[in-house]
Amino acid sequence: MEGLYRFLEYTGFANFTFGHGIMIIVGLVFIFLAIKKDYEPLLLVPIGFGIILGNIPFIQNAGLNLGVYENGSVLRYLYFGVLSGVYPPLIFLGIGAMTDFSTLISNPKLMLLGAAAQLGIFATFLGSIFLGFNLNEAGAIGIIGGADGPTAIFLASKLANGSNGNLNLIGPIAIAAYSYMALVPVIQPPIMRLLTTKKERVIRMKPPRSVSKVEKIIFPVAGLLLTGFISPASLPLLGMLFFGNLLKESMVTERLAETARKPMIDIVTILLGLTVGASTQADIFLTKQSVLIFILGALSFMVATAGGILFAKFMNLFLSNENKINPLIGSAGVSAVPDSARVSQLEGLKYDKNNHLLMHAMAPNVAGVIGSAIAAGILMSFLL
Amino acid sequence: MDIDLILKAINITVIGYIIVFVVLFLLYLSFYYLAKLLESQAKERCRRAGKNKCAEHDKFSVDSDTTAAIAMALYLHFGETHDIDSTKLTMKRESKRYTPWNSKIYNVIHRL
Repeated sequence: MEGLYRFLEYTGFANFTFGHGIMIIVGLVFIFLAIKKDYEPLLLVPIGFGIILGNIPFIQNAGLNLGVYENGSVLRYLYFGVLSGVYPPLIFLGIGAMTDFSTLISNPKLMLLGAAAQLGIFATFLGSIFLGFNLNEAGAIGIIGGADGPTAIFLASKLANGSNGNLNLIGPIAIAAYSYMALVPVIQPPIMRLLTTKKERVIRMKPPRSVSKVEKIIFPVAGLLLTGFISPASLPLLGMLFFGNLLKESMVTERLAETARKPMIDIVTILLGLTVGASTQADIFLTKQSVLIFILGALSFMVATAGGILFAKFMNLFLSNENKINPLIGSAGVSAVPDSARVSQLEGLKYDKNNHLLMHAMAPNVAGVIGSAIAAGILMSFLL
Repeated sequence: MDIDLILKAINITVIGYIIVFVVLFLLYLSFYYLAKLLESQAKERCRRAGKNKCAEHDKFSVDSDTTAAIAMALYLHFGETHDIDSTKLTMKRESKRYTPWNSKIYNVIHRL
């Protein structure tokens, strides 16, 4: 009989709390959104399942070594890639190997939109300070505005990993970043309509010119040298991004590029999504700080979107009529590749059925990836 | 609220945002002038090779409608390719009814 009681003590039912219930529902909502609504399924399915996995109740510190926060557990070993910042650079390698920078190279002035949209990062950084977070935690929260999941996890793992008196905010930051990335089609359009006139939304941009192979090969090398020398702290991310791109564009390492953009990025995405999801254990995740992070995250996406659009309008003041920029593509500077570029395309088509903005929007979109990684490097060099 | 902390945060914000802009602006300048350089080199090569080829090079540009049409065609093409076969079976009537048992009558009916 005593054995039966002991067994019952170990079951999930005996250890269930209200918090576990909430988190399991959150995980189910993620999976529902991914499968039914097709919102970033490659991310939300592993994260949603990870949330459920991490919130199955069990007796902690009973020597079972099950949870992501218990030394010796399998999940802990897999989570090490998040804690140590190993997974995000590997994802950047894959992104580099699948990204075509042609549109950016053909119209390089659109890089500035990618820089302008980083306003979201720094505005959120300031906002977090005013809400009582310390500098390191604020830096980690601010990067949500970069709309780049791997960059957010990378910076959070360095600045707010639970050591040196900082809170462990990796879970809430990652969940906020990926949730809002999935919600880009919902968050951005109202801001785009609010900040642009009908006349601006139908601006037709000059078709991009063809880009030579030489330019495509020079881009990752020059990009690495320039960004690396000015902001060396961004090297783990940008080094891998540009390396991946060189593998793709050199055309002589197709096998490596193929591995980086398909099997490798898939494996790392599975491990990253699952362990980040599992790190949202109710007792650690359901805090006042997490609620504040979610509010700040939403604001950061809005500010970043507005920053890109307003800067496009500002640039138009100095551009000739034939070189004018459709401000709708400014919102794509927030990164979130390729969803925000797709939003620009769809919004543009609503006002002119023959005005295809996707190609143009991809330029600030990939510039946003570079910009947010540089911003992460700058925050690291200031705060570490 | 700690004033020093706020001042430090504002300092990081301003400097950080400016650095992001400077890096991407330098990248923009590099590729703006690289494109000019490569274009002038290409024109020079074309000029040496003959005028007609130059004109062709200058004309090369694809407008957005054409690109969208190509993208749609590719999308439709790849949408049609699949790796799961249809499970519908079609029975084909075999018209050849030759067996060694009816070889004589078969040869009477089917003459070469």
